[in-house]
Amino acid sequence: MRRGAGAGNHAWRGRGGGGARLLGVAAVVVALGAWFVGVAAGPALAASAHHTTSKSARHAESPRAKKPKKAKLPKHGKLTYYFVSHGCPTTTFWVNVWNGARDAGKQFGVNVKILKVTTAQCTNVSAVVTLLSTAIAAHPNGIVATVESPTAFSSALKTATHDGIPVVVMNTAPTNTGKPTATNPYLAYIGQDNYTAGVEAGTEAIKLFHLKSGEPVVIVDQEPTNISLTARDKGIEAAMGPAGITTTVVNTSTTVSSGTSVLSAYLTTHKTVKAIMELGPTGAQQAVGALKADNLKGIPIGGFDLSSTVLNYIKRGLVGFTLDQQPYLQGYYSVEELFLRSTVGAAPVTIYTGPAFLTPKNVKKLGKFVTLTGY
Amino acid sequence: MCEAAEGSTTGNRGSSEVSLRTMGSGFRSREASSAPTSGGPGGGVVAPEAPALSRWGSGSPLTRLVRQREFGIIAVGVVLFAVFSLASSGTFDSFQTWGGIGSSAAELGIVSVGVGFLMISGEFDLSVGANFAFAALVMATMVHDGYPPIEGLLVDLGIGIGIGLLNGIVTVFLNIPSFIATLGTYFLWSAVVLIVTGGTTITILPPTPTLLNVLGGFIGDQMRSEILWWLGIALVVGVVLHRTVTGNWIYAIGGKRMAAREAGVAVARTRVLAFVLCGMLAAFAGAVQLAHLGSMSAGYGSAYQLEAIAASVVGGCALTGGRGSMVGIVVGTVILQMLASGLILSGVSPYWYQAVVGIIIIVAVAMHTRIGAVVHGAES
Repeated sequence: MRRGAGAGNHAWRGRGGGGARLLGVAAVVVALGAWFVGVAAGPALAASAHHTTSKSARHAESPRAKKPKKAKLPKHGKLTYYFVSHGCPTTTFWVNVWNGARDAGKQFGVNVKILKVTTAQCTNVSAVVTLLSTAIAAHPNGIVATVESPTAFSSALKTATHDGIPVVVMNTAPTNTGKPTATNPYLAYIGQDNYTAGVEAGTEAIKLFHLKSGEPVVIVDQEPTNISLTARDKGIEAAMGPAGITTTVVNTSTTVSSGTSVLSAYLTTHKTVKAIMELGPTGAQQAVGALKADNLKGIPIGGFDLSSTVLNYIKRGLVGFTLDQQPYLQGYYSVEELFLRSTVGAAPVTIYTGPAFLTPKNVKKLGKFVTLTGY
Repeated sequence: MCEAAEGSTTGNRGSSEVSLRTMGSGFRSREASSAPTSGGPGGGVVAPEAPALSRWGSGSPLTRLVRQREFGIIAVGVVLFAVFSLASSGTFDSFQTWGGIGSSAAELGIVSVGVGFLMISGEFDLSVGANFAFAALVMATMVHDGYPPIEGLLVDLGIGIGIGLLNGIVTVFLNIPSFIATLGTYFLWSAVVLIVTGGTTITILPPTPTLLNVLGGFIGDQMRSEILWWLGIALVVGVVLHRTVTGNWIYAIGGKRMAAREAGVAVARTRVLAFVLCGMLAAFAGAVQLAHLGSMSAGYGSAYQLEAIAASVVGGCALTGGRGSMVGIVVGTVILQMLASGLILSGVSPYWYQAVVGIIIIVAVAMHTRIGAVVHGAES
């Protein structure tokens, strides 16, 4: 795997693409554009997109279109997109995703209807399938979906394709790379390859935390039923296994407090642990909390995803690094791709919004961008 | 349970009256039949008369229709259907929408049949969600590893029966309120499922085994066979509930347990039986969902215990036991699932879903209580 930039660089590396780095730069530019230019420039942004063919070029060009002018788009009624995801209503990560989708909706002047499961249904895939079926029955202009199972969404996705409803999958796809298949047809994937992200996190941890053969590492899994987290976990193990590092998964909980006490108990009885890998912000909070509760120092923490809390941890040096996949952009791009598909017929393309390393070294430079993009 | 039933509303007092009556008929038929729990021919003939009397009463056909306990909730369902059909500009009353509603209603519905049955006998089962996932995960693992699917299904049902039996034994013989007992087993089985599977999702890739197609495959373009399973199970359990001695005993135990015991009802055995049925149906619902989705994970049944209780309550089951009907339970399930899709298709913000469910629950219970009071007031 080619590393597009050093660990100290907030660059985005697409899988399997030559223009990966350019795409990364474009991602930052669009994110900033979304916030600086605001609603007024929305039509202009869309207009500039209308005249360009290259996706990367479009991203790079759009924020410069400062003059708010009327969009010259083919005539269409108010477009409606359904945004169906498995995200828990109260999870910061998903709030950012939905903010991105909503902002894109405002900018492009389209209806974005965000469907969510209830808090009690957070791990319940059938509830998400029902939401997706309902969204398809509404015959919208497009659907954004997350696909947490290789089989459960198959018939719904086939129905959507049959009915001619464009579907873009974001964040969670049935395959590691996000490539659509005959059983799970859709147009494009916006997200990250979680297995590769896991391999990269594992490799980074070995280097950054100076881990040696035979040393035990704990992996904190706050939601053992989530296939994205399982893929990250497998990636970490694939990187650490050959180096002789032993990994143990500790299943905690989506509730910070109860998970903290589980991890704290584990660390008290396993004093040789050399590093903690967490699979998400909730796990990061549990890891930091457990170390504090046990009054342990010098056990480094590394992991995935970004929230304002994790950003704060990195600033204070409590967390060594995190792999960001830019939830805001995942929401934003998904809607944007559907919009371009509806208005100018542009075929949605797969975009990898991560992983990107955020460490105490680059947090000063990148922290404000992170805040700006809605974390 | 008894004190609660006596101390509450007029509707409840009325219902205990029904229960005593039905119980009486059950008692008589026990004398007549040598095999009371199996609902022998004697019970089958004698039992229906008592509830039929109290439910239909006298008066014009319209009055009698309105007095039907399920009338109110069916009316609510029809009104909701009409409102959603008008508000959704033709997307709600389509086969596509109802295929989706039917599938999710079937999976919740099979759980609700058991939970409602148990509620009528005056008990709760909060462990159904964990039972659902645990039994289905074992079945999924077996099918995945190449065991014949029928063996997987039998093991699935066996686990459900076992969990139900444990719930029943803990509740009845340790004399722990079922709310607490099954809360305990809910935590227990939720943990066991994670310990055993480590939280992984088991996926059964195509080609799908025939048995799974029978349980949850498509029949026609939009509908899945799970709907037939649900309605079939509701019919069979409904006949047991409304047309057999065992059913009468369930009402009697839920209405006035002490009186039932004194009247010779096999209270302990019938209560355990209700738990076993509930556990078995939860596990079967898990198998059906496995067939529908092709995958299973520890979290899949997570919200079912509360949704099933909500469906039963909306359908007219009293929390204190002794009251409710199979038609009500089925209609309650449909209403809950209809709300989820109907609100979305009508363009209402999905944030409102839970709020509307809450309001419907309160309205439904208030309505059932009022209707109960009117029906029994008219009789006395």
